[in-house]
Amino acid sequence: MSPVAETSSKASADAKIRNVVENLAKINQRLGEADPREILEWAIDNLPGLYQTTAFGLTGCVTLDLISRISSDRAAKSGEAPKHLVPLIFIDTLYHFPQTIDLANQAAKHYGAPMHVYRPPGTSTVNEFEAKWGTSFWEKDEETYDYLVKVEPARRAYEELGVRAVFTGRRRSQGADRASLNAVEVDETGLIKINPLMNWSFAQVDEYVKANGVPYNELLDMGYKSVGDWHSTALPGSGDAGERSGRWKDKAGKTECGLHKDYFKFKLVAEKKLREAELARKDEAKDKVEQAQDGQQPTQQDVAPVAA
Amino acid sequence: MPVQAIKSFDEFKTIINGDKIVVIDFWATWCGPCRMISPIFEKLSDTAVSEKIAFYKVDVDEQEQISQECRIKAMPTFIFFKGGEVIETITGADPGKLNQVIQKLAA
Repeated sequence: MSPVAETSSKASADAKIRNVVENLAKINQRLGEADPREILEWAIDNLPGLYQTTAFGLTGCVTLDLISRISSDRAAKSGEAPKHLVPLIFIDTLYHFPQTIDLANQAAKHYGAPMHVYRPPGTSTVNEFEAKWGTSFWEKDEETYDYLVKVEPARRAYEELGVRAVFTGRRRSQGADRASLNAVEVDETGLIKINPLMNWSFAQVDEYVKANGVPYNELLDMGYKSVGDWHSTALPGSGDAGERSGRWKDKAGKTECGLHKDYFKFKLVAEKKLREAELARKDEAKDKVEQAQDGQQPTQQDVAPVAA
Repeated sequence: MPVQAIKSFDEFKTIINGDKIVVIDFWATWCGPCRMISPIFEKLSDTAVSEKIAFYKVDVDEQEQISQECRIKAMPTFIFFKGGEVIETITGADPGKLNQVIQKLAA
């Protein structure tokens, strides 16, 4: 791109952002009761430098799915090749659950969504990170850890990619200071934040996932309320019940599968009973055949052997 | 290093009596929490701690003798051995605790 074109496209982006910021109150009034799709469409139409930063929680997955639908609907209408309209940013802290990493890769592929992955500065694997900063660094210096694995990579992503606006997964029904969420906000750095799911309840999010077969983090089915770094994510069953806890399918508790005291003994007994039942069935069948042969009507015709 | 499955009681005896610290993940195919934590166990086995600690797993249904010997009552159970003796046990899928103990023993 020539310098002139670059400047003017940046200028045009700045103008669009300024327009949104200046008309924030009106925009929020208009979108006050809007559903996710409406808010997403508005954002796609009005915001340059729009990205979805996500750790693939449930709302992130729903947002991704909705954007995918909007993208393909628009492509179908205009006769163009389908293109995912909002790229993803994934902050790989190096300490995500493996299940989250798998989901990130799977989801990006499934939706054909471009995904930019950002890792801690100077270290791209957990071994490199620990060689530099030591093990369990979050315990030794939580602030620096957070800065290294989350804050700095996100800031670098926003700078490198020219991010002007991002989607969040926040909802009004999550309560506290989210109860008065607006559709569009501006933070202290001038970043525009859009909350497309603000008017949905948890039940609606859940229903959407089920109805549309949206890929999501399997750890949620295991009772995790939210899924962050594995060393610090609260285990299901600890603390408040919350929205999603208690979803273990096993009866025996949330972090372990209890065994009956004499599991192996009972297992041996059960297996023995099964064997005895099997033998009894065989004996019964043999008796029947013998009865039939002792001058009674044959109960079975001779059948020619089936060709192999 | 990928986590190796122990396939016999004799193998188990040899492994725990070796020089290195050994950690064994006792798991079951029907156990949800095991499914949650085993990827993390695998992940840890790929880090520097594997220089000091050898990582193994035992399917409690396939290896009943080992499981009975170790008195496994709940899954997952992580048992750490040194020179044939148990030095630590963690019951339940607690990734934080698991990591803590591993880092401590590998220090």
